[in-house]
Amino acid sequence: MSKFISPEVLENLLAFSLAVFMTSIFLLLLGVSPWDAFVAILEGSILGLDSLSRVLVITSVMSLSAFALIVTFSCNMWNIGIEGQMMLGAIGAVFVARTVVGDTLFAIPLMIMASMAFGGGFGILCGILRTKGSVHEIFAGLGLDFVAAGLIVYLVIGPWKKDGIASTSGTDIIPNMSWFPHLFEFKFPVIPVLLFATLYMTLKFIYSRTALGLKLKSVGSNPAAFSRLGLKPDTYILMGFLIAGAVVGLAGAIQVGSIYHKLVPYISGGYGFLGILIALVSDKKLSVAVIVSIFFACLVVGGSTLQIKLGLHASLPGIIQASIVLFWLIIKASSIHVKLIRLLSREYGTD
Amino acid sequence: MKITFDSITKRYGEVIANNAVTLDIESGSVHAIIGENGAGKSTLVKMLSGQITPDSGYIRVDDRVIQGFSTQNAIELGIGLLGQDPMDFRNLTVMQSFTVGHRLSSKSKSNRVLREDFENLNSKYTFNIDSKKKIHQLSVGERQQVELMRLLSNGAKVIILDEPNSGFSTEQKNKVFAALTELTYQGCTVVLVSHKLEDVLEYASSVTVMRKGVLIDTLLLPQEPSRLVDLMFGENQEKQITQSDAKTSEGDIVVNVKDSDGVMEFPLTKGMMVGTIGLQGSGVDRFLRDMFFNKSFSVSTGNKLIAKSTFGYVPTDRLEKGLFPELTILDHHALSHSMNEGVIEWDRTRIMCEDLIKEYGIIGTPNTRARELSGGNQQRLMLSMLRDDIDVAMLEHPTRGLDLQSADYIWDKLNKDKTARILTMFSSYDIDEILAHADFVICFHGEEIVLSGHINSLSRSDIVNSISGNLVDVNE
Repeated sequence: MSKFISPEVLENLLAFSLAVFMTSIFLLLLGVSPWDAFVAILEGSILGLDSLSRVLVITSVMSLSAFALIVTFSCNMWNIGIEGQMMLGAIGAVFVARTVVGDTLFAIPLMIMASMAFGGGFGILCGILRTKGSVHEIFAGLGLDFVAAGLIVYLVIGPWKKDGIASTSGTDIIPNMSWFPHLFEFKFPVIPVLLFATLYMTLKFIYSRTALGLKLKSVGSNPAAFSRLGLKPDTYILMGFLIAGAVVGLAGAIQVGSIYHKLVPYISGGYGFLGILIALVSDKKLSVAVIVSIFFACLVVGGSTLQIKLGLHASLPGIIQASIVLFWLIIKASSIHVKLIRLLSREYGTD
Repeated sequence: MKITFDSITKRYGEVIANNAVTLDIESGSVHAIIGENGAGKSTLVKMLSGQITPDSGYIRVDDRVIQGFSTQNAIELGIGLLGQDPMDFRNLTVMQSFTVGHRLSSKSKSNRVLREDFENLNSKYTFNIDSKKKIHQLSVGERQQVELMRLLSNGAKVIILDEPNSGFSTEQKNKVFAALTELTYQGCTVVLVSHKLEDVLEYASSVTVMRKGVLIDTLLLPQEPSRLVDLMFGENQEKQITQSDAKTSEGDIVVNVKDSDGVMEFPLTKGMMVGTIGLQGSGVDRFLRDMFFNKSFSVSTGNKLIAKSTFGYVPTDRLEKGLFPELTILDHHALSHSMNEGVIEWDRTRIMCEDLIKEYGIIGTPNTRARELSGGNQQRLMLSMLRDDIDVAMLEHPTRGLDLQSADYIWDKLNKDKTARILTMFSSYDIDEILAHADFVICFHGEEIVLSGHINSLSRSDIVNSISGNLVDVNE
């Protein structure tokens, strides 16, 4: 078993199962059958053709946010500005889609590039405030989130308003060629999946093979030791913010190209903040973050089915999501799952 | 208080750090535990101070068996540890740091009483530490003194010193041991973990020698140093001083130091080993750091400035300024030796890493994290991170925390490497180290450089006098 699954993944799966178990008890207390609830969620997410497509899109958005945060966490930075960076990515994508190229074949590649540039630029702004302005990155990021949200509202009711009416329901729908295409009968979201798979492999490569990855990791571990090696900590902190912003900017592009097809206020949908949670739950491991994202995406998409099929209160999916995360964190903090693994298989004991 | 270790065994994976160690330490003694790196000295005292739990065996303090190993428990028993690196709070003031760790701070002792306590101890032992200063403004030795006062004020009856003297100047060391000796008259017990034989011979009343986790022997002092060395290493290993010949030069090297008073220049020759010495807390603590980071300090050859990018710097604070606690040895070597590669050739780096581990005798594997290494091994790791192609090496206390044998090895290597480098500079509080290895000496008193010159032109007493302030103005 251990030859095929890395201990990390195994540990997380076990922690997750325990969390589901604890949540089930919680659901029983609320008078809901856990079996029915989880089946409804599965049917409404990865087991349904239509919903599978949505699960994949949302998985991509969540994974990209989590990746971005793993990058900044590796530099020991709390990138609370993640939401703003995603919004700027969305603005970048809509900006391209609204120009003359918006209805051509160049639309999608350019949207992707613009979202990375906008998101990365906004990320670097946060990094500059931190390194040059000595503003703590949490405050800088939070402030920039508000700036980005304000900027979108300004664009939506100002320069980019719909013909005739200025409404916060969003801008005009972008041209068809700017929509991210779906393939096959089950509407396979090819662009989001490609984006997150590419980013996964790229980041994996950077962190496991390159000097850049090692430097990003070490600058967070000890800036003083970093400068002793003749390296400039500020440069690599800025680099971390640039990469994070660019990565999560892509998530903004997906929100535009695959989901909304226009710019709406709060287009990040809280996925940036959720990314913080995912990054933490997954111990800042890229592969684990993907698994956690898939699961969260199932909860988000399947949650509505749950509501309709079982006639449950709309808050229940949120409760399930929150309690699983809570139990997960408790289990990981107390490392019950690790002790269980040691009990179950002795060869893990020496690790 | 009398301390008894009864068949203490502690394993770390494959390594047996302590193998059935049985030892009595009498009340009112200064008992030294000596041994080379990895002998298990620190492990033993860490159990006494409740930081780790033995796998088997037990410890008694005055016939009370320690139940449940925790630092809390140890503090209540009156056991205080002065570690290799001070355990304090860098961003607090001395007084705050003194108070915050005090177990009585919120109860019977008010802040005023604590302040009086501090001032009493401070003046009693003539430590002269300004209680309003921030901890990070103090030298390592001064921070240790604050720690010692905190332990005493906290009611410690057993003081463990885990190689703290590597951060002490001679003057501070004398003060600290004078204080400790006085305490033993009142029934306190001092456990001194060290590999510095002269300290052990000077301050301790009895000694236990450990080697590779095993207690070799316990002896009353004084003893012949050679006997202890034999016991420590299991063979006859006399320390050999390798005084190198002063080299004749090709290129002239000039070290420029610019401060408020103007520019100071030191004419040196290529391949020299420059020793900087001063008391703890003097300018010597910052000099090499400034040489590395500060633009107004430079080294030039002819009229050409030597780029700082070709400097290598080994700081005193290992985990705080030198290493990345969470990274592995392999990561460290990749960072220092392969940082200019885009994609790191990990196979080649791993081979290099394994070679360096062997070469520097680091006890660990490429995957061991820096924080898991003992102090001496962290020091070796820092030295092993120096690249061969650097022009100028800046080494703060290069053999800090190393045993005799390893220190000799490191000095052999540094003396060999120095000829390939333009300049090697090191700092030390130890005059013998300076006399043994420096070609050129720079002496500090307070913030000032009070004396400098070729080693052959200076006598031991010149240096001693200058750093203790008796020789100011000798240059003028």
